[in-house]
Amino acid sequence: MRQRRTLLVVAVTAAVTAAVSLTACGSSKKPATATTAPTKLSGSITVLAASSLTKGFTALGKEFEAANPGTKVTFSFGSSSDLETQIEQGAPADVFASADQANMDKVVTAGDNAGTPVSFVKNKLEIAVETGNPKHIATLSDLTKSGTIVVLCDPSVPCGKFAKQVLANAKVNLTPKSLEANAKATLSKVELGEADAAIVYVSDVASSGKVAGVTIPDTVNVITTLPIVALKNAKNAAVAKAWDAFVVSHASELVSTFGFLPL
Amino acid sequence: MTRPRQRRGAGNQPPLPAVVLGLIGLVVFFGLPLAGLLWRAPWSDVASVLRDPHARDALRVSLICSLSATGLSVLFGIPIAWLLARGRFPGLNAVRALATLPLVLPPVVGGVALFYAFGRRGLIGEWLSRWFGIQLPFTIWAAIIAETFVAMPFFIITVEGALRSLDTRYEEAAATFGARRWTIFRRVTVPMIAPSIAAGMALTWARALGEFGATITFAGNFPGKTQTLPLAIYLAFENNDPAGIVLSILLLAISIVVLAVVGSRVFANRAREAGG
Repeated sequence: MRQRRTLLVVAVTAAVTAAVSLTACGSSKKPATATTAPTKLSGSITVLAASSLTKGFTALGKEFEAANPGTKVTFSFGSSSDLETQIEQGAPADVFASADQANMDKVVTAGDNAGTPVSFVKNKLEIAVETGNPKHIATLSDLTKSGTIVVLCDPSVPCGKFAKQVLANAKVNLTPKSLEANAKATLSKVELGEADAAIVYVSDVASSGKVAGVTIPDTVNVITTLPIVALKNAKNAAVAKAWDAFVVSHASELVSTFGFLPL
Repeated sequence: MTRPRQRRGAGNQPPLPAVVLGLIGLVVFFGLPLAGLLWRAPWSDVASVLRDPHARDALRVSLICSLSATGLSVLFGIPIAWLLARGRFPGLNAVRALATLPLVLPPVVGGVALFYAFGRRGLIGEWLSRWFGIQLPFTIWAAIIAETFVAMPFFIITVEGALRSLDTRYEEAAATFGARRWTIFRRVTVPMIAPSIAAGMALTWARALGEFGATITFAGNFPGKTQTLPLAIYLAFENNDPAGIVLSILLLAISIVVLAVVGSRVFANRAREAGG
């Protein structure tokens, strides 16, 4: 019995020591990679990007990797406010691309950025309806017709904040069935046929393929600018900067293929 | 029904390594995260958050949905557990896997699956809508269904285990005295597994109360209608709103109190059950 007990104690001590030395390794790694020469790009980066950029950035990422052999771009897509919280909590990420200025401002205020954020494309809102527009929705006020199921993003995320502004601008008083957690979840309710209409980004409608868009006039619409920045925590600052430059120079592709608006 | 007295002796004492590992586990996995929440909680905002009608709405919806889900789980879960524990038919294991599917399915996928079944374009949802004008998504019924879907397996597993370990001689004795099956079930079986039913209900209710993924997918999120506490908490965090932490602590406090009360009774009863 005694022997077994000692054995267990030894095992626990070993596990704790291993854990401690592992964390020590983790912290000693950082300066080593930061000093790699920027002449030839190599290594991987993690990009935190607004969920509206999912398809566009995934395509650009492949092109970037092809143009710079030896690099790898990994994405984590989510609502900009979620991503901003993750950055604040020290997420191991190299780049942040936000759906709005407000969340980028928070990152900058907290001092988590490396360099100045650069805007690369614009976006605006649109009404997403089922293909063929069976409910004949032509304007924002059509959304208030009885029996029309409308879902919006929650006002705590950028697309919901903008949707609220657009409805206020158009003086449309709308009771949605649901306030969804992000633009993708909102759009999916129309894609699944559970909602008749949603207010999402034009880029979401363009890259969905399963819904149709009904234009919201620019006079009441909200036009947002998407900024990108390298992060202070970046493990691979060279590739992070190169990626940012690549996104800015290939913004036209996001416009032509993925429905974003030029600056 | 005499209960063997617990003798205090070497046989009852957990070995030292178990105590050490147990303590480390408790502190690392449960103690520290809770301490972190309490540490960052904006205590000065507690009163204003709790007075906020939005928070009260979310609490009300949460209680209605989680209690209804628990009720439905008992109604359907006891017969299912009974079938699984006593049934003798081919494919029993497949049925058990089916009944515990929500345990492994990511809740968001569960929510989408509920759409495919009960949504406007769903397997039976389309007919519900066409024949009866019933549309479940985005209603409190959808939230109740989502929570039942996710939480009922906890009830089934607990009760099935109790039924399996039950000494069937009592039921057989009742049968020889001419009791009908329904009477035996009601008067012998259920009272004997009552502590496990209570434990299963507590687990089910706690899981339903904390449910997020399936609910926000299938029922959507609308304050006062389908927004439960976990949904309100999630969206408050999106906004960096301190209310998120306060509401989390509220949720924790409610469940800890209920689980502690139910737990102390259940374990007392279970000791009796084991002794009897």
